[in-house]
Amino acid sequence: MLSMQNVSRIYRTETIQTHALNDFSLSVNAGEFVAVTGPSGSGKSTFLNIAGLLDQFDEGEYSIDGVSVKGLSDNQLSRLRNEKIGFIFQNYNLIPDYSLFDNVDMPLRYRGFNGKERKRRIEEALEKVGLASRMNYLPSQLSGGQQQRVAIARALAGEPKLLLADEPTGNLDSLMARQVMELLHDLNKDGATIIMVTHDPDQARSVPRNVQIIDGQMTDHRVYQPQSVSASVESEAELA
Amino acid sequence: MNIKALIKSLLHRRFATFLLILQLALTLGLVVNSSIMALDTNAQMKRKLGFDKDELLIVQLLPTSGAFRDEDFYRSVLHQDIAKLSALPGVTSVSQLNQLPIQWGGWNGSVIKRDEPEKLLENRQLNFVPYYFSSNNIFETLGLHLVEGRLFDEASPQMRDQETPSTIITQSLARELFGNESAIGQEINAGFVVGIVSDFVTMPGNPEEKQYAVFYNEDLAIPDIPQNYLLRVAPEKLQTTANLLEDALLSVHPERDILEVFSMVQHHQEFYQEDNGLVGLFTILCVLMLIVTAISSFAHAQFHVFRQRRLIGIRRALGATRKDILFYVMAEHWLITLLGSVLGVAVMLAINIGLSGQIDISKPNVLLYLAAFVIVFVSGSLSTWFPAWRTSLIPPVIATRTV
Amino acid sequence: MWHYYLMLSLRSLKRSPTLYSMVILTLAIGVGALASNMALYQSMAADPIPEKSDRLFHVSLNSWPDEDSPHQQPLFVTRYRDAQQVLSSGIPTKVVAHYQTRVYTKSLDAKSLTRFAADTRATTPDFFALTNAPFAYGRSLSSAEGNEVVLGSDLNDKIFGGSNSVGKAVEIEGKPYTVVGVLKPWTLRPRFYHMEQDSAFRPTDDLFVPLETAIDNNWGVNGRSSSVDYSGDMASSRPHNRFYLSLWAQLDSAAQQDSFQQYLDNYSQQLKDAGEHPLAINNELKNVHEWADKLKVVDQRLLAFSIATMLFLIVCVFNASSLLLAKYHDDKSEMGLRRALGASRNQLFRQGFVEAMLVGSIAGSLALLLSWLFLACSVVLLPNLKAIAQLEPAVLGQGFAIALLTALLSTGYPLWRANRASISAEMK
Repeated sequence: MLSMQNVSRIYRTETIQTHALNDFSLSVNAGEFVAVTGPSGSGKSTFLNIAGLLDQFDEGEYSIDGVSVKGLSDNQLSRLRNEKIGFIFQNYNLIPDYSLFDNVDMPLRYRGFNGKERKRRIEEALEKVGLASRMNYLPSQLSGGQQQRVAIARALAGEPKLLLADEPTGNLDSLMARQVMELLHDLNKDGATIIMVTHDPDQARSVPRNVQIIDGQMTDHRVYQPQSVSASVESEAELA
Repeated sequence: MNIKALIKSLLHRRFATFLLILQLALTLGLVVNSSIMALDTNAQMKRKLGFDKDELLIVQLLPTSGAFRDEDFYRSVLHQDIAKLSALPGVTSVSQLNQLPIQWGGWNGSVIKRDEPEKLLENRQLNFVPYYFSSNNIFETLGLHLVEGRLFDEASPQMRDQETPSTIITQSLARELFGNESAIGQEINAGFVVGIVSDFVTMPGNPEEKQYAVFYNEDLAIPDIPQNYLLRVAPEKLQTTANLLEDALLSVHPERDILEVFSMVQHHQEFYQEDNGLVGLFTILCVLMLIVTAISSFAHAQFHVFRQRRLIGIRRALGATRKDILFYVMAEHWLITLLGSVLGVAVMLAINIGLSGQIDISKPNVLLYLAAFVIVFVSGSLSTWFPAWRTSLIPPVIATRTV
Repeated sequence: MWHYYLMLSLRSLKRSPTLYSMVILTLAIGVGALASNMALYQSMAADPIPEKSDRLFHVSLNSWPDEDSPHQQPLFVTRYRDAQQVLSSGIPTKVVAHYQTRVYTKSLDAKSLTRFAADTRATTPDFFALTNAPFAYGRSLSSAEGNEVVLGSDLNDKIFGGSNSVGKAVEIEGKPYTVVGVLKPWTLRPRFYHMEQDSAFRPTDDLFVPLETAIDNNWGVNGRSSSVDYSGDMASSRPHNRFYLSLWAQLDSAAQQDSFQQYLDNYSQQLKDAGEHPLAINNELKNVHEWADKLKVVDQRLLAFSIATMLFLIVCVFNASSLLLAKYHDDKSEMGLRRALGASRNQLFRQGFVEAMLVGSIAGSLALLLSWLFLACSVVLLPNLKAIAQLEPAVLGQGFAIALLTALLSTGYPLWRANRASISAEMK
């Protein structure tokens, strides 16, 4: 599904150059749920930006769903982003004066679907996150968790091969965070490939595969035995 | 507050700042040049005319019947007209005149001493000296005074009856032709000079020292050319007299077309109407430009400075008072205005040169520039003040917010 | 997709109404001022007879007999005998000599003494064919002599109530003249056959009379008339050095022009050889455009004002651009989001383009209203412009196009800059 081979990303200023990612390799198969952890400044965000085709890389190979992204034009990259990737951001990034419907609609517009198809997909996606009845609400009329679920619906509506989540629960209280995580696990069970950046070790532990990035390199690569989701939820509940 | 920080923050959004500086410069340039035009026109209009503009009424008419082709008939009507008009209340003097002072072109001819034809090539104005064919009392009517020699009177013969006609010329013409010598009794191509009268504005386009004119005593009766009757009237009677003219003239002979009745003051204003109109257009444009520039200043403060809310919040958190912030935003605007004013000098000169290719316009001066600077400065400061004040209300707590 | 862009643009306008109304207002004022100026300029610089303006030539002859002449260039008027010579050359397709005069006239049968002032063209008969004067009734003059007249539409309205007056008679100075033709309303802007001395935007004439008839009747010249040695009446001026006739010729080919020029130069040379004038041979043929340029038919004041209005428009574009810079800066994160969700740069550019078009259209419509207002102001301030202050559809179209262009110009840089920002930086 996703394959990075020896990817490096170097930020240069006049005096120094920093390897945000250094000779980084990772392969994710279809249907996997991967949590990416690491201290701040470790290169998590860079990894996610490159994985999501938001940023360029300097060396190495990266292919997504069998398509090598090296040397693709902006149009082609945008197309790939639109068709194969769904984003979920820490701060949701909903457009405040758009209804839920219009927010979910946005990526579908750029896909070029007709009105009927868009409507079907929007309703389906909002149904999946349990907000179909509120599609004419504005984001401000919802709680944070609900807003994030809208963002997830927006990511799902395009039926992407890969969901990229950047601290999806970072702005949420624990109850809401749990609901969002449940949703992600459910999606994963239904076959979605998910890569999630998080700084929360407990949350990472609830995910089948963990990857840790430190100083731009993958230093740890552990595969947990699949745990039951309910167990992780219980542990969080205890913490709360 | 230091100037370096200000410049740095301006450089940070140099495009917007540059646009505003350019706008201020253009506005300044336009305001200065429009003011120059207004002052030029005003100076032209204030120019001494050399005759009594305020007491003169003019009626222009054309005969509509072929009977006036008979010169003797026309003249008899003309004399009756003058008698009739002279009898109107408040009228002290009436003359006929083939053309008016203050005009472009007209009935002009060359004037030279017979032995000096080359002067025509040296002095262009000598080729186009207005010839006035008028009643003998025209000097009294216009209020020109005698400098030397004599004026025409009742006894003076008509021009058409003379082999070499007697002529009265203006002082500047006499000086141009004869220098310090007396012109009286001299012969020129236009006739014998019998009198010299004070200068008056014949063609405002000509320089002051070249207001040439030649007068003949001739009650001109050509039916193809509009006849002018000049009436000297007590200023307070001007309007009531004007209303009587058409009926009075038609009662002498009805087959005439009264083209227009107007005062010399109106004539004078009309002559400068185009210049004044242009000044009006430029004034409108200046006002619009000031408005647009004020909007710009407002917008610059509102949108560009307001965007730095967090930085300003941090300043506040670090102890800057509201006044400091207010001053900070204003100072930024003043710096821009200053830069705009420097560039404005160049723009002002460029516009002036550009305009001088199309119209007569004086050179800019420091005083006008300073005046325009004050206008731009004040309007800019006023429009910056409101957003600056709003910016100063940003609470320090903003500093700690993330978004 | 375009209607999605349009919808987004509308939302964007609704989102920042203050900012957008400032943008639209400044652009509209700037474009409006320019458009009203363009309207004046274009009607001054218009081609009054496009079908043959490049084949109609004003003829200037240099035959001033006096060496001490202030005229460095040939006079634009000709004396009678020169005109006769030119009329008889047989070279041009059409050739005309004319001057303007003014008479008072009424219907011969009218009881009233009231006569109507008539600006009158005394002309040779080719005038109508050369100028393409539009006839409502009847025909053109048959000769440069005789008692025929052609009425302009206005005068025919005044005297005959607009009816077909062909065959009726008018009275001028006690004599009868037969109406042989009546023109349709005829507007020439500029009036190319007589543009001299700031008269290019006067109406076409009320009455057309045979040239010789006017001269015989001593109908004076209403326009430039220069003489060297003569101050008598019109009728006996024919052999004298009195310059007052305008000459126009229609020359359809280059060969015709050359041979006509040759003809004029030969004639001038003959005069010079005979000692009639001392000047260099300098005869000018200027077509309608060249003649209008030479006479500076386009008001110099207006050109001066054009410079100012253009500067003003530039200022307005700067202002709008500065405002939009702030707006696009604020939109950066939304644009980043759209990019992240799969919109390409091109799509965002197209979105910006649609928005610029929307802003431009609103500004353009407002500008057209304002240009009408500015034009009204100009006419109040410069009453002489009244005859030419017309908002032609072409000018409206151009004004609108300029509004769109200025909107694009002001959007360009802010859009490009916002779109250039990296997505990942915006998505923090």
